[in-house]
Order: sequence, then C-alpha cells, then structure tokens
Amino acid sequence: MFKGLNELTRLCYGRILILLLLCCASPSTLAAVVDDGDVEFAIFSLNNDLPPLSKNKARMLYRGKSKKISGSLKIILVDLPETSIHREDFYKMLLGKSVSQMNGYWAGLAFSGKGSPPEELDSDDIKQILKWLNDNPNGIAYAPIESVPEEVNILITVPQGE
Amino acid sequence: MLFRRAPLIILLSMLVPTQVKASIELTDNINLSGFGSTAISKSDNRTPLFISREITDEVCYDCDTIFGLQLDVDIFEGFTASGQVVKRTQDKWSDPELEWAYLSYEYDDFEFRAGRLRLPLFLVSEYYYVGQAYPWARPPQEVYDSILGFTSYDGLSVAWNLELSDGLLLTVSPYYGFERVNKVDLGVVALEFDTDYMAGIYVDLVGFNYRIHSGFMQAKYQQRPSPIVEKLDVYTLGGEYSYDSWQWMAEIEIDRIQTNWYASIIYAFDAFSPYFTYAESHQSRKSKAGTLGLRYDATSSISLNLEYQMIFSTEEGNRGQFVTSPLVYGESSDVDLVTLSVNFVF
Repeated sequence: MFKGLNELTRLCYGRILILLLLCCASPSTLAAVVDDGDVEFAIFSLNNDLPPLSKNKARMLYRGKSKKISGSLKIILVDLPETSIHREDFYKMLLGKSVSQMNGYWAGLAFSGKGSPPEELDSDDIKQILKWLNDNPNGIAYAPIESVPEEVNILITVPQGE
Repeated sequence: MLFRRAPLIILLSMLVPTQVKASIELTDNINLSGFGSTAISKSDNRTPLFISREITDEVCYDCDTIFGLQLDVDIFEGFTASGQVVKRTQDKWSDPELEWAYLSYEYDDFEFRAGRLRLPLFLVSEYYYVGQAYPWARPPQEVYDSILGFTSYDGLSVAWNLELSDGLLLTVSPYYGFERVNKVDLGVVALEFDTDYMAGIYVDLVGFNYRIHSGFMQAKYQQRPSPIVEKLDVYTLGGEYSYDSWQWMAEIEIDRIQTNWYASIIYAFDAFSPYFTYAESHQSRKSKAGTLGLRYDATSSISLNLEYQMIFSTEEGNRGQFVTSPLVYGESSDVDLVTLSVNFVF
C-alpha cells in the first residue's frame, strides 16, 4: 500500500513541475494571443507615489490575488460598469477572461473572506473615473489610453506592457 | 411534476435583479451578501445518492437546496469580523448552520483568525456552498465527500502571505481546532464523532492564472459509542490552471482508508461553459464517474447548470457514492443522474 502511495506522491510532484513549467511559459504566449484589439488601455492613478506596475503585478491585482504594491501600499481597484464594452475588452486583454468568468471568480473571492470585487462606477466616463481616483488616493483605474489626460500617473499600458 | 416548481425558480430569479451590486452595503463598514443554489435532480436508482443530498429515482426539488447569508464587518484598522449562516442541503430552513463566525486581524503579511473557521482542505473548500463560484452543479463528491462533508472547525489559524515575486504568492497557513462533536447522517444511520482536535496546515502557490493547493490535517477522535480513540491523517493536493478560454482543475485526497481524485476541464465561450469531469474513488468507496455538464451565466449574479453524471461501481455491493450499499435496496451498483440547478449571489 505504501509503495503505491509513494508512486502517487511522485506522480503528483511530477504534475506540479509540469504545471509550474507551463505557467512560467505562459505570460509571453498569452500576450501574443490576446493582442488582437485596436484599443489600448492605461492602468493609472492620480497618486504620483505609485511605482510602475509589471504585467504580472497588474494581473495579480486584477484577479484579487494581490492587494499591495511595493510590499506595503494597499491598492484599491475600481471597475467600469458591466455594460461597458471597455470592461469586456480590458479583462480579455489583461487576463484572457470574459466578464462572466470574472464574475464567478469574484464570487469565490468575496465568499471566502479573501477580498471583495472592485467598486463599480455608474458610467465609463473619464470624468467619473478621475473623480473616483481623486477621492481614493491609493486607487487605480483603467481606461482607453486616448481618453486619459496627460498629467495622470500611468502605471502600465495594456496590451503593450511597460 | 416538473412544472409545479417552475414558478418558484422564476420567482427566485425575479427576486434577484439583473443589475445588482455584488452585495448590500449596510453602512460603510458593514456588508451583507448572500448566495444560494437549488436544483431539480433525479437518478435511475432507488438507493439515496451522495451524503447529505440523498437523491433517488424520484424527481427531487430540494435535495440540493442551499441558501446562505454572510455578514462582513470592518471593526477598525486591521480587524474584521465575518459570519456565515447556511441552510445546507441537509438542513431544514428553520434550522440553518452557523458555518463560520470569526474575528480576523491582519498585520503585515500575516492574518490571524479565531472562531469557527472553514477547513481548508480542498481547492474550493472556502466557497464550498457558493455554486456561483465554481463551474459544476456540485463539487466532485469523490473528493469533497471524503471526510463525510465536514467543513468547519472551532479554533485558530494564522496565514502567512508572502509575495515571492510580482506574479507569485505563497501562503502558508497552520490551524488548530479544539474539541467538539461532529455529526452526520448517513442514510438512516446517524454518525457522531467526538473530535479531540483537528489540526493541520495548507500551503498555496498562487499565480494570476493558476493555483496549487496542498493540505494536511490530523484529527484525533472517537466514533460514538466506541471508546476507541482513532487518528486520521488526511493529505490533499489540488491544482487549477486557466489559459485563454480553458480551465483545468484536478485534486487528490489520500488517507488511510481511501484515495480519491478527479480531473475537470472547462471551456468558456460567451455565457456558456461546457465541462467534463472524471473522478475515481478507491478502497473505502469504490467507483468511477464521468460528468458532462453545461453552465450558463444568465447574468452576473445568476447561473444555471445542466449535468449528466454516470457513476460506475468497481465492486458489487460497495457503497460507492451512495449513502449505503445499493444491495440494501436490491438495486444495481451503477447510477446515472440528471441535474438542472440554478445558482445566485447578491
């Protein structure tokens, strides 16, 4: 029985290794797959103290798996309304996920006490986004890059990356 | 028969407006949210199927019904409290279960919790009752019913969340549950476990599109009325990975009386997600099963699942995924099951 168990464990670790390899390989390939839209997004803030984000970090933040940057700065996210076409495009580009996939995913996070979905704005108007950012100094938002004013702090652009 | 309850489902979906906030903010610091699932299910076997659900060959409207409310309170800097009351599948509406109630304190990379807490054995343990949060109508029973469906402990936990890099998070969380009595009904048999302690640890490796979850738990208990003190070590390992529209999930559970595993593949296109799950149980329960399903996300807070599940016994007379041996009912050991479920969150 224990021989069987050992083999099983070995098998499992083998699988982890494969999984890990797959994951390490995925970011570059994923970028190539999703780079099909015309829209380019900026993830930005009004807070000039926030450092630029790496693509990995941005993905971790928007999947609710990370809430801090630079180890201690607690970040708040805001979402565009569900009816916004930009929201659909943004999640597809950054994470390769549809809005309904994200909804199921946020439900899991919210009910496991690990976080709550980002606050949702009433419209995807840039004025609203800027107002929210003004009220939330540690907040970050996303919007099509052409609608973003020059003076904001752009942390990363999607899909291009830094 | 089928149509008699249809108004209920329509009513349910009307109660949950299509454009909802994920939850109700009572004040700035208090948040109330809820979730539920219900299903129409029917098997082709008279033997009750699945612990705490007991589905038979008669159409069942309340075998899978779950309703839960969760209250989250921000007390002050770093301190939060959370409570979850759930009418589980086995509960009457008048007698729901306090599934968790804890005080949490977050400091730096550490989170301390005390109270009634969820056993973190499996990938979806933390949202086990929230159908909206996982692809299937029910988490695969081979793995999720392996410890008789026990989901909580009363005790303490600490989680250390360490960001190894921008894209990699490591969580190490030991926990300890104090003495308590765990009860479960297995068909007509009521089992009672006088648990001395339940202690364990889980280690998670999390990337933006994958998660590896490994767990270990030791429980010391007496099964009443037996005076014999037993120890059970449970090992779990699970992984989920998503790429583009694909998602893969697999888990294995091993303890001294059994080995169980499943693997599931899910494909999402628009609001539809077809999936297939294959699962096996060995030693204590002996079965193999395939489930073909389709999930439909009707709105951001309502989804439907249609599933066809076939379970084959690998030993005649073995309980398999039933609550008792099908021989008791003079039935075949194999069973097919159809489920149409609806899940919602608010």
